[in-house]
Amino acid sequence: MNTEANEAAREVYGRLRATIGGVIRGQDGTVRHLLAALAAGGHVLLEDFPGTGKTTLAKALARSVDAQFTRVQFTPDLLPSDILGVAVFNQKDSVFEFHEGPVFTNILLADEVNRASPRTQSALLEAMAEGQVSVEGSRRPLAELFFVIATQNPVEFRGTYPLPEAQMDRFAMQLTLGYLEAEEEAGILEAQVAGHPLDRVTACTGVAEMVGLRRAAAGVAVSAELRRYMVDLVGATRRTVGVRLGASPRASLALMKASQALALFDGLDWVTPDHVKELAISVIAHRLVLDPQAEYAGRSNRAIVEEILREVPAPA
Amino acid sequence: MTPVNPVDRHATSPPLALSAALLLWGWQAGMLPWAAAMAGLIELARWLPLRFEPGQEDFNRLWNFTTLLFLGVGLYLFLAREGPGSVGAVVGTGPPGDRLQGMREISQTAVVFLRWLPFVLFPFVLAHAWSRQGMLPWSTFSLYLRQQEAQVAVSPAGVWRPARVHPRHLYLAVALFSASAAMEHAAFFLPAFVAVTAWALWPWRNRRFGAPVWVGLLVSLLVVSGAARIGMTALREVWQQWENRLLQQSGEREFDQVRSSTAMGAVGRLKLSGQILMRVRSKRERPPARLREAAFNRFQANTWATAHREFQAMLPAIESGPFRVAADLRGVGFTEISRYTTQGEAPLALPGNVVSIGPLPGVLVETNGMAAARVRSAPRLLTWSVDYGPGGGFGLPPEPDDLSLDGLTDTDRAAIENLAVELKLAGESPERAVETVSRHFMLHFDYALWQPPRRGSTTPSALARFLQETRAGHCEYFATATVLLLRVAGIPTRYAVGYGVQEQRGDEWVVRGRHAHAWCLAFMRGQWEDVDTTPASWNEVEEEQAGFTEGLRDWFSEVWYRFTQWRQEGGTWQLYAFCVSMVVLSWLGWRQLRGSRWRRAGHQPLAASPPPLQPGADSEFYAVVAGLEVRFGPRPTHETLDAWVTRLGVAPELRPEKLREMLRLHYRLRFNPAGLPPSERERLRMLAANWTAANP
Repeated sequence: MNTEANEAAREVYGRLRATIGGVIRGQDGTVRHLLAALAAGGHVLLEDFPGTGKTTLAKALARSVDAQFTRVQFTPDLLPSDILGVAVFNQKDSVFEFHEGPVFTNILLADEVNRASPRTQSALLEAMAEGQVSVEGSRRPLAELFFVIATQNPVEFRGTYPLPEAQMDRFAMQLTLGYLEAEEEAGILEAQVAGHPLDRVTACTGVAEMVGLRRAAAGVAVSAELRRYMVDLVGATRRTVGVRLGASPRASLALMKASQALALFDGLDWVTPDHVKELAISVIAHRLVLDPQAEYAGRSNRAIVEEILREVPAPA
Repeated sequence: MTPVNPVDRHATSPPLALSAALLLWGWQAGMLPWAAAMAGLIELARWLPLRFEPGQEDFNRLWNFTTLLFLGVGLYLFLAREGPGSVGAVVGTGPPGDRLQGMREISQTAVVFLRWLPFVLFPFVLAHAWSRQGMLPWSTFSLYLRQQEAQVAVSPAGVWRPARVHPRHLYLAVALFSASAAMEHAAFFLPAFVAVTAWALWPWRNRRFGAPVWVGLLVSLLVVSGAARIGMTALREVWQQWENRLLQQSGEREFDQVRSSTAMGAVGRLKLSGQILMRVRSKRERPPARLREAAFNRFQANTWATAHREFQAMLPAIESGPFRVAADLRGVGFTEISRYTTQGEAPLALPGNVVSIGPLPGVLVETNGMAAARVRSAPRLLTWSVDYGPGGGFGLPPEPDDLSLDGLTDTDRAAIENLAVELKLAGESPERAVETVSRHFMLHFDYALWQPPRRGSTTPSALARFLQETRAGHCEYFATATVLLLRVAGIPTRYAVGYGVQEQRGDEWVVRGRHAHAWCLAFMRGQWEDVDTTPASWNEVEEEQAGFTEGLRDWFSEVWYRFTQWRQEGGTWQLYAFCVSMVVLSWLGWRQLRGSRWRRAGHQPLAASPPPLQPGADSEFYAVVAGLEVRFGPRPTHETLDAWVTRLGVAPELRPEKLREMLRLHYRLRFNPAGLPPSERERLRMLAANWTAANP
């Protein structure tokens, strides 16, 4: 166990959290999970009502890291080539030259991702899962630090295309911000009297440190019992009444990696059941597809995972 | 790890509830001393610290054994209480009376089995009472659920949270159920039953309502139950009356050999069943055309009767030899007849000129001398052989009743005498008179099972109406008219009933209910001879009555006949079957129990205890957890220790900072694959010991 690397990683986490926390008030838990996803090598889907700070959070994170940041506003007429890139014929040299799209970046903000057509949404599949894109027959690797933050609005349905299940599965976590308490909201107003705090954000870390953070997180130990616990939680979604499609093994993997990152943040070299339980809803819920009956009966993905957490005995 | 299941603490039934249920059962089942001993053994476990530590697998095995015991007891009762015979009577083609009796036997066997049920389940419950086990998963009681559990266990993502049940609760329900299985209850059984049930359920009541509400509800329940019981008693009486009526109206009435009510005078279609009553085998020649069951000589109000009501036992000339009917004669024909008896009794259907009845060891054969013989103490399926030939038959000579027309109404007498005058029977020789009567009926009368309604009829008498108006009827009309006409001619006659043998199936002849027949016996040439004036078309008319299900019924009849035959030839097959079954069940039971390892709890040396399955399972922090559970209630299994301790927000006197430190060390011991360094383990041990000492 490389204690020094872990200490350094924790310090990076602390800086990032402080920086983002200066912009996004009252969302410590969400920021913690967002950073856990980043450290675990996963991608995040932010779903919440308009104006709750989804884009701000994404931009705050992007500016906190001295890395290439691209924002793509997803619209119905967006094409896959608008994201991946396109080969253009150079008449002078008589060759096709590939012009990289916005996906060739470190942090990609896919704003309102559900407004693009499924074809365009699917263009992100390979990039998110494998860290590469295949364009016109050739594979092009993405940067070592490649992190997608997508946002979507849960209340609008006209002119939107719900993300397909396969795409949802590619997101390690789905996070929500939610409305704040009145006092915290007042604090936001106060903080923005003289200008948006986002404008004052400067990078507190770089790509190299972020890669180090990921490596340190991957080194955190997970006991066999806890691995089994994670598998039990995910497996229970496949047997729960009302769930048409349960979570995949990718969910178990994401849960383990994010738990490792969380344990690292907490200064531990090993994962505890509390880390697993803390992340279970963010990691598992968005992957479930419910029966229509269950939906009409008012059950939600989140409620089902909460039920499972109450059912499956936690290691003690 | 602490074995306490949070649900278990609330899962025990109230004290003595099970014993009360057992005593109630013992009282009702007449086994009070046994019930008291059983209750004592179970209650003793509350007072003695001795306990065993069976595992789930041991309970599974014990339940398997209990299931075998259940089967064994069931099999014993089934065989000991003539179960096969009762089932056969219900599913077979016997008379309805037998079926009802069979159903009654089966239900009584079931009741006895229910009353014994607490005995059968007692070993399991006793073993559980003396173990440390609380609730058991339902899979303990079901092989199917065990398989399901095993499948889930091997699947990569198996989460199996089986529902659990306390065997004591199940046993209590069984004891109460068995107590209520007795047919007759004392007046205060119902209050006692409700009281024990209420006592057992009291801890589970909804606390939203106060005790007076519940008590009121129970009293209401008692009142309603009492009313329902009275209603059930009344319903049972109605049922019994209905059952008796059904028996009286059932197809094959109990045959009366001294009195025979005819269907003469009844209107509508005479419908007789196609049920096979007898099977007749004859090696060489055709069997006799008619088998007689009885003969009568007094006619009054459409009923034939005989003055010879006394039956006397027939004794064979030599022990276990044939019963001779006509001495010093040798039969020329030989036939074998089989039929079912009802509770060991049946009339013997015999050819008119029977010479001797084959040996029937152990069976009492009786006759009244009027061509009627019957058996008593016979097996369920009786087969008898008959020698018959010229000169045979029961030899009771003619008597005044055989010539009497006394019982006739004036209308009938006038009709008979007018017809006799018309046929000029007076002074004719017996042979000539018989021929005249036969020809008259053959030429001018038809066989019919249908009697039209009496609208427009000038005579109230069925016989006169038959002779003068309808000129059509079934065999009873022809036989009665012939008997009476020949009497007018001065010939002694009797009325015989029995069956026609007219349907051959394979190498045997079958006699069905609809083959029932009546004919005349005339005393001619010094002996009784059959005179059958019923038109020969009666065979075809009767055969038309065969329903489309008759083939299926015949098949069942055949199967049941062969099975009964096999059973009777097998001797004490029940004993053999029981012994073999017991050996098999005992072997299976031994196989189930031999792998069990019941150990006394708390007496095993430490070295012998198995190593912990999970790292840190022997953590000293569990003792602290147990202490906290005593104070704050059990920890929900889904809650992590950290979340639980945080939720408890323990008071300062419990030293929360030490708890946190112990929890951190425990977590590291449990979840860090690298484990806990010895020094920190020692610290955990010390902290836990101090904490438990300070917080006993």
